[in-house]
Amino acid sequence: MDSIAGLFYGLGIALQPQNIFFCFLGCFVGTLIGVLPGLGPGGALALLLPVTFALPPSTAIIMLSGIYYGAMYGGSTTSILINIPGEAASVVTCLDGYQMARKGRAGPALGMAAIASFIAGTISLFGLLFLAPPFANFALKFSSPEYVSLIFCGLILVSYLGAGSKLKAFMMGTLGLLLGTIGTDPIEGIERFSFGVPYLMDGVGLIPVIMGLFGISEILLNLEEAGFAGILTEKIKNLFPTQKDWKDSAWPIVRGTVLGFFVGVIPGGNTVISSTMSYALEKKISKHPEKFGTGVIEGVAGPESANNSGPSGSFIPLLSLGIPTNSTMALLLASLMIHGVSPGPFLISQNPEVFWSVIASMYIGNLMLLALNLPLLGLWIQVIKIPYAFFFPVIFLFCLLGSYSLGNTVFDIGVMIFFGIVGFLMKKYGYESAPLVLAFILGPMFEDHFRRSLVLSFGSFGIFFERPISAVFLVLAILLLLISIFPALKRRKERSA
Amino acid sequence: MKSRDTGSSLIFLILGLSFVAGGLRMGLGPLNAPGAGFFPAVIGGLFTLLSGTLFVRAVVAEKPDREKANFWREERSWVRVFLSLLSLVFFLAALNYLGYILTTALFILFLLKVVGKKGWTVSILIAIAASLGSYALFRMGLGVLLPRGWISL
Repeated sequence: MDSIAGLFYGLGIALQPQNIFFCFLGCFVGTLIGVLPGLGPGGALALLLPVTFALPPSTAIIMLSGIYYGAMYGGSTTSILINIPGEAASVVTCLDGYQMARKGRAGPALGMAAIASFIAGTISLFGLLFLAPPFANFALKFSSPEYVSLIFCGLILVSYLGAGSKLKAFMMGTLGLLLGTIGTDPIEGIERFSFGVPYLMDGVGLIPVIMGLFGISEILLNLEEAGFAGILTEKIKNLFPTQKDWKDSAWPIVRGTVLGFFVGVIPGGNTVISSTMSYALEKKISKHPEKFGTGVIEGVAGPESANNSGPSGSFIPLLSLGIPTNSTMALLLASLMIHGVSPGPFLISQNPEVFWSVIASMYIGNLMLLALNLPLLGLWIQVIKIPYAFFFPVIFLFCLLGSYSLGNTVFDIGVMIFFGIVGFLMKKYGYESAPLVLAFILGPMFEDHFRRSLVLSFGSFGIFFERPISAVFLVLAILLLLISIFPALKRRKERSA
Repeated sequence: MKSRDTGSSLIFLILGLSFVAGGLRMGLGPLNAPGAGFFPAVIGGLFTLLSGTLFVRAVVAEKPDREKANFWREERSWVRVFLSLLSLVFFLAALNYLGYILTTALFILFLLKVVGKKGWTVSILIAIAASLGSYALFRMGLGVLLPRGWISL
């Protein structure tokens, strides 16, 4: 089915009342999560994942993706009003957005953030719509060796693009792979590392791990913070940007959209990176770079566009290849797997209703979010005023309920708490969690394809290099590894010289 | 964070070695049909290598000039985190004995009153509302079976 026909097919499904309702719910909750400092889209998705079990797969993904891009819309509200990012990708919006608010221009800043997000979200969806099917077609050529190299390259890339020490990020990636081996070996049927515990026969539960790493640990980290900064209580009048604002923002929006989209496609490319890059880009090519940081609207329009076109880009590898490119996509992958839908090149042919309806509902979602973020702004401002102390017990409760509902066993709760502590310590000690999660999810797939490849090649490792597509990914991965190691080696040389 | 890295990398080193040992025990299998132990052993070996590198790096590095950055943001922040963890474990332990509603109510009450430092009335009201409300939502709305205990509805 070609893209336009697919879009209409998808709209037919997305416009069903149930899907509209859950799309709205997702967008609403997403905006709420985005507005509230402290809980990011990763945590929110982890929390609400169990809620979606009773829903059909399309509806589940529609709601969950609504939460994701909804959070990108909402995150800017607190950045602009109180200089605290609602979630990580909105950090750069604080820089100029808050300054604009201090100059009495909170209205146009908020307005432009929402509108830029809408424009970027809608345009990038066209990218998704037209690029995903060809990607999937290309991926049909993939066999086990290609998947091995692709996943390997992806994991290296995710670790490379992480914030802190690359060595530690690589470590977390390998650890994730190791955790994935716990359970019953799919090929030989032996139990691995389960120490006779029946619960572990199926492996460590994916959902409790994610809920622990993202939900519980985020709250624990937040509990360390004291209170928060004063909120701007002046009435926010006039949400509409001026004509000059529009003129200044037009190109930043375009650039942000394109940048965010392509960053979203590559593994490890998340909205934090794209919004930061957009800000840096705008500042670099601006005619008045010195004004950045004092309240220029380009500093809001660009990053906001970038973080909203990112999700569309990230959906391409997920829906066409079955490979998640960041933790949030990993959660969506988990959700799809639980619903028995395996994303990948065959998704379009086997489950077209999932593929097309998710894309179509993202259009609907963006419209809903525009409405949620402009007229309903007053509501969010009231919400921000509620102290965190009232929220976090409820969030904990959702996590506990969610993990319990997976299998009616407190074991899952235990795993979740354990990984909550792990996640907390990881953050404190400077270890990235994204490589861990991605490797954990992709590990079993990776190992399976790896073993198959060796069977295919009669034990020769050459198969990974002989096949062209696989060779390309591998060379890329090796290059990245070299780039990561060289600076460290150089430093050591300089020190001993 | 140099001195912190020595500790964590050492733990990881030991963890990696355990995976290698376990993998070797399971058998690597021939290269043209890798066994169950192949992947854990190889990846475990890689992990051990990386952890070892980190460990060496941490030990050899010069001591930072300024004071080690504080592990905790403020003096007393660890209290809130610790108490919250305690209450999570309480929930885990009490759920099957006291049942969902009572456990939840106590859980929320504790968090609001002790960690959040809110007043008695507010805390009790919210605790009751949250436990009953969530019970209604998850049990009736979503059909999730929750343990019955002292308070059965």
